[in-house]
Amino acid sequence: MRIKILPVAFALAMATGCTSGTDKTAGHKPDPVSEAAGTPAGNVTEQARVVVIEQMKFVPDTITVKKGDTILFVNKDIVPHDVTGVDQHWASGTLAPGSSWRFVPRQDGDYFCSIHVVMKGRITVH
Amino acid sequence: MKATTVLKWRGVALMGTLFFAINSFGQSTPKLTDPEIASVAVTANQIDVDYAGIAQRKSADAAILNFAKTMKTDHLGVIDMATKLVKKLKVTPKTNSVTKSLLEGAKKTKATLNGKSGKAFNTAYMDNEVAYHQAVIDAVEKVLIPQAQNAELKALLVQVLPALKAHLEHAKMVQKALK
Ligand SMILES: [Cu+2]
Repeated sequence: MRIKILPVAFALAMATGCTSGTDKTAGHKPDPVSEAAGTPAGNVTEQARVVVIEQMKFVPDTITVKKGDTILFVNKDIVPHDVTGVDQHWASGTLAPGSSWRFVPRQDGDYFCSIHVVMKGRITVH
Repeated sequence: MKATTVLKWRGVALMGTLFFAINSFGQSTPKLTDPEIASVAVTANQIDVDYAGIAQRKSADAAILNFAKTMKTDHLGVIDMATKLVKKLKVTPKTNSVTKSLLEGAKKTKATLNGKSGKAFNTAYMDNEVAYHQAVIDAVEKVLIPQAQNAELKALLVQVLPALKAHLEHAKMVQKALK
């Protein structure tokens, strides 16, 4: 679990930590934070970009990210889950217990678990 | 007429389940040892796997097939966890009156389900899934968790509850859509 979260923590450190100048030159990748002068401290953002799946819930079940940000879905539950856009245009595929999936949302959207259709979440992008 | 049919079916579905064994509470709450709890847990999960197998054979409804597939995956997963735990704890699951009553109830329910087809099957399967999950949740909360002695066994039962509750909500959703 830890190993899987580390790369994201690293990516976030890069994204938030290096914002104050260097990131624009670094970027082949779409850069989420180029206009984020007023971004709150790293920790807060870092927390918000991970959605943990546990006890049959997406936690948190609503998340707001900036365009280009990555969300890491981590399945810490005892059964497999998935993350599926209600518009059916995107889906993680099955996430076995202990596995995770990165997603860069392009727009707002509701999602659910197609394995357990009562599990729902929402992403807001701005 | 319709109400009678439903009640009758519910009666069949519930008979012999944990609900039956346990909901008559008061004096008759069964007292179970850890090996007996392990046996009940594995049996209860296996029964729902079996029901799912019948649904996969008999139903053509996409929502039901999806639900049945989930039941198979999740309940087999729980059986796997329970099996690993009892091995680790060196506990041998012990058949008991609750296990037996579960199996008897399941035998009747399977016969009923196998005797139906089409829409009648879909309704019967989903009604039973709602009733069965409710019964198992009650049993886990009111008997198995309180009586489990080993901390890890107790923790496993606690861990399984959210899945059972999500299954119940899922079952209700599919059931409602059939009507
Ligand atoms: Cu799920």
